[in-house]
Amino acid sequence: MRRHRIARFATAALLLSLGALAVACSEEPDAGGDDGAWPAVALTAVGKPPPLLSTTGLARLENGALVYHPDLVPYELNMPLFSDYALKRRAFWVPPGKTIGWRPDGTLDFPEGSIIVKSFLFAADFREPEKNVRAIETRVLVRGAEDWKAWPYIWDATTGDATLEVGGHVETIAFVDPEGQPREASYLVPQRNQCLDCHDQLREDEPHTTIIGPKARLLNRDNVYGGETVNQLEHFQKLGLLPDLPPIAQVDRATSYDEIRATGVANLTGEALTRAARDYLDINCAHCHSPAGVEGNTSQLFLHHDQDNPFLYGVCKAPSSAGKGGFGRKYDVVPGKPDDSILMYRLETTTLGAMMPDIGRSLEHTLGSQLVRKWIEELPPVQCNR
Amino acid sequence: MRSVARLSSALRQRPVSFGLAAASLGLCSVLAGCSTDDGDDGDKAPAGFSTTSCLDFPAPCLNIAAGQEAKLQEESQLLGDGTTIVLGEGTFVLDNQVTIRQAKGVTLIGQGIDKTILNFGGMKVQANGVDVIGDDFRIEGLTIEDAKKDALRVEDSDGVTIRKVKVTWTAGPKTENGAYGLYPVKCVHVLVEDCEAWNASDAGLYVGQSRHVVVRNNLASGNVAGIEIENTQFADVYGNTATNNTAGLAVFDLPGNPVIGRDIHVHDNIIEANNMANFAPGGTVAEIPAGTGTFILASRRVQFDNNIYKDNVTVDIAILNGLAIEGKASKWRLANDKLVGDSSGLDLPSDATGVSNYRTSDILIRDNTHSGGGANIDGGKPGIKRQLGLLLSIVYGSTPVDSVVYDGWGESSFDAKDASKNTNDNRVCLKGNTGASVVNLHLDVVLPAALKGTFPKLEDLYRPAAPFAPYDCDAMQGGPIAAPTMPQLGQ
Repeated sequence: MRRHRIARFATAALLLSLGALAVACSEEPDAGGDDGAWPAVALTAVGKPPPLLSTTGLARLENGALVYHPDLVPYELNMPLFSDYALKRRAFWVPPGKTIGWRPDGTLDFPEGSIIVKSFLFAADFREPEKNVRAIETRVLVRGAEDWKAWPYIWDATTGDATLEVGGHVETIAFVDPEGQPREASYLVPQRNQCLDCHDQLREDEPHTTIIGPKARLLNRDNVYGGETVNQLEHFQKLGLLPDLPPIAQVDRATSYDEIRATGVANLTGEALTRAARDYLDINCAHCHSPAGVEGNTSQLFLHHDQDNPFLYGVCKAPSSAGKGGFGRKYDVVPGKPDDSILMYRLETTTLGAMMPDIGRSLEHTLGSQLVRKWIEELPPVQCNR
Repeated sequence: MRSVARLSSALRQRPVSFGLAAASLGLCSVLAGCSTDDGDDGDKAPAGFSTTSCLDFPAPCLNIAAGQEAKLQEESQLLGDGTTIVLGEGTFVLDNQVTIRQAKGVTLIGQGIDKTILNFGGMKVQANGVDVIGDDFRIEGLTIEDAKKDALRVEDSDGVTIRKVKVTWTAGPKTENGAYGLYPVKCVHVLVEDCEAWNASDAGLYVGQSRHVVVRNNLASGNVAGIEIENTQFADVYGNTATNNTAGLAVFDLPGNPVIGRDIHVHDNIIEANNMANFAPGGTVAEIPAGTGTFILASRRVQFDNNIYKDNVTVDIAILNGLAIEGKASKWRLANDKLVGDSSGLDLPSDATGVSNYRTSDILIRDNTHSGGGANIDGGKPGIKRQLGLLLSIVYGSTPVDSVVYDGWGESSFDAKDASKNTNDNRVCLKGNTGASVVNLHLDVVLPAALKGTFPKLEDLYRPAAPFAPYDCDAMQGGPIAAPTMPQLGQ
């Protein structure tokens, strides 16, 4: 009951932000939005979901602003995946009476029937991310008995609804990035099967569709709920959704991307730099570049944050088949020499067939590149050649 | 398949109004659920499906015509097991890859090479051409053009049939081209036959990290590497032509890969004039000199017989230890509990908990014919990026390179003159070849010296006359090469 009430505030705030087409900003008072206007959340993992997102009750556009069902719990991640600068709004829903199982590592154990929604939005000018925001797509993941199902919906501003588009979509989107640079993305709404490129993970040699972001260490951060700034995990616990959360001081915490931005990459050094770079590589790369990555494990380059063998995270490692991604460089990571490192080239380039991540990026993420560059520069020098 | 096609063409004699068929097709596209039984709507194949259509296949089957790209992309996302997609004649212009997942027994079939074309040239996102994970997958009768990455990638699948598929980059051999043409990787039971692979900036026809493989009657041309069998176990490779690539046909392991290559039989192929200047943008293949017929690297239990080698200007067959390209033995070590497939009975360097696969051993080269090779190393333009070619050009000068170059790496005894003082610990055997000559490069000693600027003279190397003692043998430790097990061939 209580959770219902608090979540409602968040949605009400969105209802308020009307013409501003705002992203989540839940500090506003209840504007009197009526829960009765929403159908109950209705979406299961069985079969193909309805063609219109509004049918599921999960989300809709109101005066151009994306609004989530009041029963959804919004959340953010310390370190987000870069997707051509898209703004992201994430939320989850757990069936009434069920709870989320605690896991210190990996993603939290959402019960069967849980839903995660992740929307991708573009601002006209990301220096003012609250203004002129347009919702492009909402991805819906539903937890079935064994696996998650992933479904992409594309928004139509004229109807205020999103349509299931399993076949994907490519769209040119122009905007000004957070550093003030004009950009033009060839933004890919992935095909339903391309979702699996990132979301399928090997378990006992078989691919299983899973979620990526909602891990304790990425969720362990503050967020604003009902005008109150609280730790997200503790908030979930308070809602009765995460009963087994240990004391928050015992929970690992990934580097905050917002803090890196505020500090400036140039001012990062030592352990903080290493952690920041490894956390960045983790969220951007490790869903493929890990032993459980269906396609990425071919490379035997493993980039999860707690993988502590330098060779396996690329130090002096010759790629098995980098193709044009090699760019004439011999090793994935040459300590002290980012411009000799294949990893650096793959993050910086926008050449099709050479870029990494493999999917979801058509532009260079300037700040991310700077971070990884500084990390490689400061790695203790090693002579890679025999 | 052919008899089925004849049957369907007989059925097509039945008079069905063409206009009516077209109208019912159009209606079909707006009716939900109708698309799964296109083939049952009439007895006549729709226009554009003259070679094959859903009349030839059991349900579920979909006919998708050129121009129906959105339909192809939508339908391919949600395939049920055993679905056949028949593509009509013409060009499908695609802005994203065709992705097949989570379905077994899918067949993707077109009207034939250069009749059904999937073109990815206008794609603005990074993706492959056709990208598949799914057991018992078959692709046949179509052309894939101008993919940004790999033209056809099939991964982690058991039972893969790739037949009469052409992959190409239409601007010719260019560094900007996608990496791989046909690319089954980490698969089991792979059949690649009657295909063409053109102009890939890495390998045209690659089979890697796979087990039980047949590659037969294909053409590879204009690629950096024509045909590559990499980290693969139990492969039968025959009847193929590799011509006008930088390297024709290669068998090798790369370090760090959990499948240790073994039992590769390469026979009755034509490997001719693979003299294309290397245009790879980077990676290991960028190190191959133009004019390389075959290299066998970090491999064991490999037999090459009855192949025709002709006019490969650097070398016909180079037999190399993995340490020649990656000198740190530790990078070749694999933990026993991580190995994939059957690594038993191989004579590998090992310790208590792991093995290493850099060593090349048990290589049988027999009954091949060699002509016109070795006379213009790396096309006359040897460069530092292609070390082996540079080394050969310095050592051989204007003398044609021997048709079989064995690096002699790890042999316990070497002598430039006396056969009896040369060991054959790696069991490299040559028998019955026509026009062959052989050299032991003594590379484990020569390479470190060369890197410091000291090169041997040709007479410092061991170049035996026929019958090439101590390489005049034909036995392989562990018995003859084992053939692949291929359920799709009834084996």
